[in-house]
Amino acid sequence: MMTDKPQPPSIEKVKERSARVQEICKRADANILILDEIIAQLEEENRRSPLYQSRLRRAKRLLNFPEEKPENVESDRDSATTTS
Amino acid sequence: MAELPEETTNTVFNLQGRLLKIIHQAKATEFAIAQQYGETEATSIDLEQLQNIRERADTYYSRFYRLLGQIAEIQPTATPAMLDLLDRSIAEAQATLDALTASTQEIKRDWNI
Repeated sequence: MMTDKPQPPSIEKVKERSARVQEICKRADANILILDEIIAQLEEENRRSPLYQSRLRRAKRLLNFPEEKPENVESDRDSATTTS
Repeated sequence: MAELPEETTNTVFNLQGRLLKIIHQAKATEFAIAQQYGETEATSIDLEQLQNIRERADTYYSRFYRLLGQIAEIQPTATPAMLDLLDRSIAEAQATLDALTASTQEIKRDWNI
């Protein structure tokens, strides 16, 4: 018998704990999925903001990227889109 | 900026501090068990669970980081429904963290680490 080393836990105990930890992880994963959903909604909200949209329009003009015409807003510059 | 109640922000910061501790504890315990006991059926199971715990803590940490950043930007303000969802998620995360911490400590104790 080894007396200098502490006894490791029994396999039954370790297996029982493993099942418990996996249950906790399942709850964590569900919770993280909801957090992802909240983050996605906030990002979407932030993208829709007028401040963000006008910055995006300016960026596209600067780089001559094709611009989608937003409703109610007149384009005040020559469009960079090519005619096909 | 959309102001979260200070209490909520502090709760999230506090959560993140605890998450870092869990990551550290899980990793340190994993290392010590592997070193002292090698690979057995029992160690493999607990090592895997420690890795599961660390992984969740890490994911939570990054999600809360992004969440606070997005909320700070929101104009003019986040909807009450959103804030309610956030509060419930924080409460759930706290309960999960307690459980992950307790499991890590139990593993440590069982292996005399």
